[in-house]
Amino acid sequence: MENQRWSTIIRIIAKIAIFFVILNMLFSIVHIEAWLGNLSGYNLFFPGRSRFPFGEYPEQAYNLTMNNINAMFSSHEVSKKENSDEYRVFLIGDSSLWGTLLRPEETLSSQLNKLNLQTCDGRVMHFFNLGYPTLSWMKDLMIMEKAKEYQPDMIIWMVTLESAAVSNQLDNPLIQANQDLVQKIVENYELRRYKVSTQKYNLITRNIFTERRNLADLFRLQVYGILWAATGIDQYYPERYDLAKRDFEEEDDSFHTLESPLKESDLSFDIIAAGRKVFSNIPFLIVNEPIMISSGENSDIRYDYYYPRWAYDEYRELMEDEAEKNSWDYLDIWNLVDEYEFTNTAIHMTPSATAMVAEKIAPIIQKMTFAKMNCSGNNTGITYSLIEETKEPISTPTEMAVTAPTITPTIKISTEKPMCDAEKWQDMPIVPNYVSPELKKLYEEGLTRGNNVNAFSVIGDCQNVPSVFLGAFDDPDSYNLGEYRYLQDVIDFYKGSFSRRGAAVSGGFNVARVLSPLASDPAICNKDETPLECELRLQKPSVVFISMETWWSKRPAETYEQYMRQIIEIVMKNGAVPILATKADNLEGDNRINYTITKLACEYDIPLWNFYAAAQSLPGHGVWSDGFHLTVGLNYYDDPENLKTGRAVRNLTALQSLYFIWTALQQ
Amino acid sequence: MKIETILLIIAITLLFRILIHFWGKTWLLTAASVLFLFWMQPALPVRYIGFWFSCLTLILVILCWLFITPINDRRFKGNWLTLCMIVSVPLLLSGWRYIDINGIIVANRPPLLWQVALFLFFSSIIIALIWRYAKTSSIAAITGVVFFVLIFIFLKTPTLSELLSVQVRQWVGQSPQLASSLDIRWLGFSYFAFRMIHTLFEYKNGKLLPISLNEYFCYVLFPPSLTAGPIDRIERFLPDLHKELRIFDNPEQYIGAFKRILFGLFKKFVIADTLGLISLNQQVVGQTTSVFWLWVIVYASALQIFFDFSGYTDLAIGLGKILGVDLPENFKKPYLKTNLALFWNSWHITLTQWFRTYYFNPITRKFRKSKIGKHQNLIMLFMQVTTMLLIGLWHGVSGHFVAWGVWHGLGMFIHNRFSPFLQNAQNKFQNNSLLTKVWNSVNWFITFNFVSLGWIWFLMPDMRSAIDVFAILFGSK
Repeated sequence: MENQRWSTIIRIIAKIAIFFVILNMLFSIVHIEAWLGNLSGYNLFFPGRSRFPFGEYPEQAYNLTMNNINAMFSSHEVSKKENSDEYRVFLIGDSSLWGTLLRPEETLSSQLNKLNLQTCDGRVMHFFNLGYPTLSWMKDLMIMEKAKEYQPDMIIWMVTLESAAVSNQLDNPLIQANQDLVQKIVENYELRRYKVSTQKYNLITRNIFTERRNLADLFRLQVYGILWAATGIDQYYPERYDLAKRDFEEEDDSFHTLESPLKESDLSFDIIAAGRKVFSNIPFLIVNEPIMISSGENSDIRYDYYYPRWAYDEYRELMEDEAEKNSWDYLDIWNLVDEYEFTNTAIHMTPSATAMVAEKIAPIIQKMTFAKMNCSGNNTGITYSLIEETKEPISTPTEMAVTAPTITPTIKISTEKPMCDAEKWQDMPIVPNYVSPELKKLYEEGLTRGNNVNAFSVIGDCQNVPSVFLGAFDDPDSYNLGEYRYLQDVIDFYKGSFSRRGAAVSGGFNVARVLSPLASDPAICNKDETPLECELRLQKPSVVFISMETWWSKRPAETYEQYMRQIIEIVMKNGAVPILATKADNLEGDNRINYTITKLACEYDIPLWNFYAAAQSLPGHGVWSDGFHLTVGLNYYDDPENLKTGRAVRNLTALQSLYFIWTALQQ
Repeated sequence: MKIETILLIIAITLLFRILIHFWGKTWLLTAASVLFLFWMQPALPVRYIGFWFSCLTLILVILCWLFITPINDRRFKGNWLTLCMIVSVPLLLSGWRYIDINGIIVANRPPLLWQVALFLFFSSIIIALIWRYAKTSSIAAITGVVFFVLIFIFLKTPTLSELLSVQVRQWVGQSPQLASSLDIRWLGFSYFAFRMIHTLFEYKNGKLLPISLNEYFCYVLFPPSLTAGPIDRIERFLPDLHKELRIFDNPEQYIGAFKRILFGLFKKFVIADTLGLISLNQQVVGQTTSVFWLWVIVYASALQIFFDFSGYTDLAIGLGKILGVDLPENFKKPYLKTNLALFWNSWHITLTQWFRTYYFNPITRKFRKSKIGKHQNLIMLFMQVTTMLLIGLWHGVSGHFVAWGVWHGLGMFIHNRFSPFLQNAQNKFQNNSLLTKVWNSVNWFITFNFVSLGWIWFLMPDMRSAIDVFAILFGSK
């Protein structure tokens, strides 16, 4: 009896073993994990991701790097059932497009979606982020080939030189993991110079055990979908990161193993041509994405960490030639973005820079779609040539300006304290016209304690970095005061402070972060020093602009007020004169932030620069259709068109406020 | 515990089954228990403390056995042999430091040989004196219980553990600045202490028959249940220990064992570890923007706790079966129960039975016989809340565990007060199967949600964080 039971057990074990071997054989032959990648809870139980899964810190990012291209697409919002009312625009590119260090709502595709662009037949343009953090055009081509299944209406391909190097094309994990697909692409588009080594698999090299990690990752990606749905987080954002290198080794002008002059065959233009063939019947825009143009050591040899000048300049020439030769729609915006608007690499941009790129390419996208659809007229009213360098101001307001801004060229200083009523904050003067005796005394005491009479600081967020706020005034070629020539005196007086990147101004800062030691730059600040304290220590300013407006749309104004009070008090304790600034937007819906700023200015009896009031007379109130980003113009005030833009008027009225404060304090 | 470690333990257990066939069960199991104790003690940042904890465990087991064994019964020769074997193991293991192969048996480098020898020498003297002269008594047994409770308080209170870490770091020449309560992790103390307290109480109540030191070691340190239970009873364990075991005996035992082991592995490493990815924690709560998904996370966390714990129990029971010991069940589909009392009768069964036997029942009886005996409701409230509070404190002495205990204590009391009324209501439609199903579903829904929400107190690091979660779930934040 017992022997019978043992033989039954042995038979069961044998059957299990045979079944296991058969399963593994099927796994080896059929490549079942590729098929499994199509099964997904995204877009069914939880929302699709707004970018491909990628991440090195799964526990913080709720994301992980996938090499299964089917799983990548099935987890993306692009695979959601199409809405017939939408015009689908796929953006293809590298980590800059994917949005390293950007939140999902800050990426280029999200910024473009916020602009709510429409085609001439009324369809809303929906931009999909199909970027992936690898620099390889072959990787982009592979994604495009797969993206065909999802029926785009337009393709925008963000390119850069580093992705063009032939040596970079096949040497990345995504390509290695999808060799069969790449091999098909190479054959279909006659890209034979790219030798794909397809591995032959057998039961030993490919079975459930060897593929267990990939299978587990497929499963984990689904589970992380719940946390993606719950938090909207898909990336780890470190508190600190190393900024992109700005100083370089002397004589380092190498670029891979290539030499000047670059030849067409050195770069993978054949892959661009193949990409064009993949989508030959829809609008296809190639954009040379912005790179950091450093002003650091040996920047005369190198633009940045990736590119020596000679290589990048020659690449641009070759690219333009290829575009012209092949009639590609091509836009070169390589130098659109200020060097301080890059984060941890020479191609990863801040949210404000990304917004700027969106603003730049939006009208071109619309023009291309109108042309394709043979629409009559052009809603933007602007004509662009498709191959251009961008230095001209962009001005595509949704309504035409009908009046010039009401900013007076001269300012009268008041000796009597004016009424300060926070309830009537909209009516407060644009430029402050009164400095109290107490504030003058504080200023003088600050000077005796060591404050620099010729220095001011800016405490602010992305709208206040030197590249967009006041920085131009340290470069005589970057501005023209027009009829505001009297402001030259204050520019001379505070020379050096305008273009200086302070420790307390950065994209991402808000009233809380400038008071947090964790947000300080460790390269220049002391341990446990907040960005505000660090800036006051380093610069010893006698005047301080305080302009904080971002990320407060969902939090109560009372919290904003608490932090802002702390900032004001710290600045005043250091003997510096604070200038508070109102903002042009009303993202919080009830203007509570501007009310709070005015209230604090009244309470502390400190100058208020009411930019809001200046913006009201501008087209679109000085902001884009997203309601937040300022319309862009340069600081050439002799051209009235610039004075219709938010950014230029902001700089002008800030300079006027500084002029007033300076004049009043010198009296 | 990693899956590789568990697979190794399964393989070693099978090997033991074979060896038992040739060499006998009790001695092998005692040796295995002692070695397992040192092997499983995790590496700790404070030098040598893990090794000393294992040595202290051995000493405590011997002393506890002495407290429950009359002098005459200690004289059995086998006890001396067991003692010699147990004392020699740490001495041999400390020699490992000279072979310079770390991490094989002991996780960290052992202390110096002379230190271990000195410790064992003095311990042996104390043990020998007690062995020879100390008589057993109820007072001694109670003293033992109090002693264990004091150690519990020390280990479970973060502030006190940290103080201990500071002191020990100073002794061994490490920086006290880096002291943390996490430095003090004594493998299995929560479980083997409860087994020893059980024997002390049984002895005090006159229910314990004399047992050898060998048997006592096997019971207290039984490897499959050392780290996570179940908390077995000695009168149930000993007959299994003495059952003869052959390699090819009873194939159903192997089938049963492997079934439980496979279930355990699947529950722990597939289901629980997957749910662990989306388990409730402070980071997720701070980032959540959706109330609906936070509820999903709360439910996922409740399921994760169950599958993790019951998975380990299945492994323990399966391994126990291989060694011929049928450990008691700890879970009986608790999340399918329709009221809180039934839930606590099917969740961590051995722990609740332990508290019922040694705290709830005897203290309730005492109260009922006392002057306040007429205040039945007050007695019930006090006893249910304090019982659950103690269970909460058993997990850790901190505010959120107190809150968890009080949550369940109050829940039990409310259930206790309403259950006659609910029973009457149910009796009215017991012949209507549809209504009965609806009734049971509603009760199940309430019970499951009450328990799941109770885990919030358990999982969040402090009361403030737990309250924030409730505020988000119920829309006030």
